[in-house]
Amino acid sequence: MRKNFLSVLLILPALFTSCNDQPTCIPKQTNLLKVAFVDIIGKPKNIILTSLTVDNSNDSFPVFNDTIANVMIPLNPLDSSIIIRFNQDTISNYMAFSYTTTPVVLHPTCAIEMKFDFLKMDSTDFEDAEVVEPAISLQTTKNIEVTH
Amino acid sequence: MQAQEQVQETKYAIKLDSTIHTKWAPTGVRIGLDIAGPIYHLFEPSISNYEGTADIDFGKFFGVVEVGRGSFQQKNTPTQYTSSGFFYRVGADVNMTSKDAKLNVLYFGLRYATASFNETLLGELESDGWGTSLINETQSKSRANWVELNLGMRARIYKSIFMGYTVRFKLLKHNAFNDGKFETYFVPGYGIATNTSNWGISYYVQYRIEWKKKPIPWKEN
Repeated sequence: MRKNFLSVLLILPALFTSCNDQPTCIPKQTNLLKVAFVDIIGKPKNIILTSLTVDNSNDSFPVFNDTIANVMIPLNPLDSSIIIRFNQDTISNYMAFSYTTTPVVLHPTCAIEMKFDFLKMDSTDFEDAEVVEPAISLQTTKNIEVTH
Repeated sequence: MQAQEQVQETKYAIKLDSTIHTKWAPTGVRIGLDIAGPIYHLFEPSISNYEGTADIDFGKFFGVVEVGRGSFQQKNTPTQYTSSGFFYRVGADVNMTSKDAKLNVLYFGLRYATASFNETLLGELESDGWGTSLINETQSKSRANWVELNLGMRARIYKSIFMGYTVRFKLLKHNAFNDGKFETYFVPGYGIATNTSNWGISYYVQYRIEWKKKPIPWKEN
């Protein structure tokens, strides 16, 4: 019995070799807020934007999507609120959001990523706009739906 | 056959019969140190783990306490993250070889574990539209809890010295407290925090302090 114990004692731990995952550094987070414009029955509706601006930023952000019914707006990772202005030919509308940010370590050999969550609309002058998905993720197709 | 029936006790155990009414009374404690952590550190310098264990017998059961200190430190990488702190586990083992006269043990067990640790994070963050930002944060007194399913053995090597290992399946991790400045990457005693479960192994050298012979249902080896 003792010999059996000693044999197992010596051999079995050697079977537990380390299987560390190799880091791939494929981004899992995004800071792109997805806004979808729809008509009254929920179908995508094209709008013509002349510019898209963010308060407290000198930049005019490019529209990241190729269809004008959907726009993606980069959230500031070092802030927890943003005011976005959608400028059309003669009118301008705004949305004010708050959100949380949490830095995430995918692996130390990868760059830090920022997780955006708990998106909340503080105010807007769009007639009908709502948060449909408060988590900002690569998989999300729309966070905000604006009936226009 | 006749000779076996005459054996009533050995150096470490006494035959359990109807005259013994204290079979649940503890007969000794084992204290020991893990040597797997320091060895692993030689191959993976970013991770260190030092821990000790103590157990006490109650019949075929053991009450177990394990205490350790662990750290993760990787500084020559794009993201410089450190985590260090203490952890402890409490639980019980069930001895599946309770008839062994030399008190060798093959067991399975359950643990509840808690870690308390500090973390730092330094690195760059690339964001669409906002360029590169520097993240430099510290979190103190982070805590995490988890459950472990254990399987292991202890063998008497020489007199009161035992050696053996514990294979750990760690699961059901939940952060009890975190400053919220960043997500925890490494929990001392648990491992990579983003994994829903982790495997681990401890290899202990233990010394048993016994104050009386253990009454066991006899089985000759």
